[in-house]
Amino acid sequence: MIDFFELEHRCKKLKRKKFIKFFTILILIFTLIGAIIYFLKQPKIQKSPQKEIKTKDINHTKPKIIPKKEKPVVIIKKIIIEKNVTPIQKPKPAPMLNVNIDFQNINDINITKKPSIQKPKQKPISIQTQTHNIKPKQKISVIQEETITFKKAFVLAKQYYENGDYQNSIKWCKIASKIDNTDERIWKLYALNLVKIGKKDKAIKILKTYLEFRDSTELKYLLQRLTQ
Amino acid sequence: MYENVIQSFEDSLNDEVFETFAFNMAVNELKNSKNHLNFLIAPPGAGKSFLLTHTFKDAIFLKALLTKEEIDNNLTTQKLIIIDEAQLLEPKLIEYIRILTDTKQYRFLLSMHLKEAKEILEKEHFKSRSINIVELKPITKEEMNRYINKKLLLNNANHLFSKKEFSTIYNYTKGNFRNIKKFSKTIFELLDFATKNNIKKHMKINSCLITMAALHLGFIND
Repeated sequence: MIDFFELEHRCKKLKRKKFIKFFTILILIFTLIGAIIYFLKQPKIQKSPQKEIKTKDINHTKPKIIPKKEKPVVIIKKIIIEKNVTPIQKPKPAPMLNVNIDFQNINDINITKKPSIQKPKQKPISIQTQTHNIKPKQKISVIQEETITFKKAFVLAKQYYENGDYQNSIKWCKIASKIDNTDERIWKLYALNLVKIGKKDKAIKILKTYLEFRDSTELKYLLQRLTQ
Repeated sequence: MYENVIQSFEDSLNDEVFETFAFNMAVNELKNSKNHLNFLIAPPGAGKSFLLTHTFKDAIFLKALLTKEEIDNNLTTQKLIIIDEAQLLEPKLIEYIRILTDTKQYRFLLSMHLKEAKEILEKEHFKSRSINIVELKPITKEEMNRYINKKLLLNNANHLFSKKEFSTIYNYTKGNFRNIKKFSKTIFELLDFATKNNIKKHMKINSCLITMAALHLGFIND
């Protein structure tokens, strides 16, 4: 025997279920379409240059020297970095120009006889910007790549020179010259480093190259001393 | 009110022959077969028994649950021996029938359910021999429409199904004769109940009535 009313009730229930299912799918489809349209219409967010620098730091193992082509980018970096400069990282006010370069010492160096000069008492400072394994006693402050300015690079180069680590000093001289190659102080320091490691000819060549384009009495005097 | 229609959809072997394409194809193949061992396979309710009883009126019909002696007693070279529901036969008896047909003296026609038949015919001794296997296919949607309409018109029924309703019925029954009959019968039983109890909403065939019939017969679950 067929229970008509029970079947009718079941039929209604089934129809209701179908209806709900249909509308749920419909709503889902519209939501999906809406979401797709929303994401497509949204403008792409540009990354700030500071963030870019940070990401680069994580990936690179070596301190990156920015190529000449990207010089405008370097300028932007400088501006940003200088805003964020902490008091500890401020460079000393008297950079290379006030350093009393003992040119007599340059003459004292027997370039041909002596091998590359390394002071035995002082261990070479191993600056690894990627790991920052600098001993706390050493004066050289840790300067992360993102905060490199000309001044900082110059200070580092100078401190390395004073500590007798000429290779690292040359490296920082190069970095500084990439940022600003018009400053004569860095050229002078670079030349002095070259003299110290026995590359006097190269030092003379560098000084001559600079003097071709710019005039500097200090560098002229140094060149004169070296060529004697 | 719909008693006659309901009765016309009762499952019976005494029904009038309703010729369909699949039905005619199967009849032709079986009649023209020169093999001594023939198989008629189809799912349950497809109309195998109906086809056999209406087509081979002069053949010897044997019940499925029989013994070797019964087969021996009915053996004749003159007539076709038909065993309906042969999937119920013991494997030994099937083997015996196969040996008998190998003598080329006797002709057998075994009617089986599709699923079981496939298992039996997969056996090595059937694979290697030339046997005639005829499959009775389900009827088409148009044939089903024609069949139901014919029944309704014969019984002076006022309500006919729409195309959409026919499609729904066909989707549930999948062209199986017995299911079509059962489904149509249930719909008219519901219609009869609604008419007698003055339920105006269901006094005509509608989608809800079809769904109710499908629920009652277990074609769908809620």
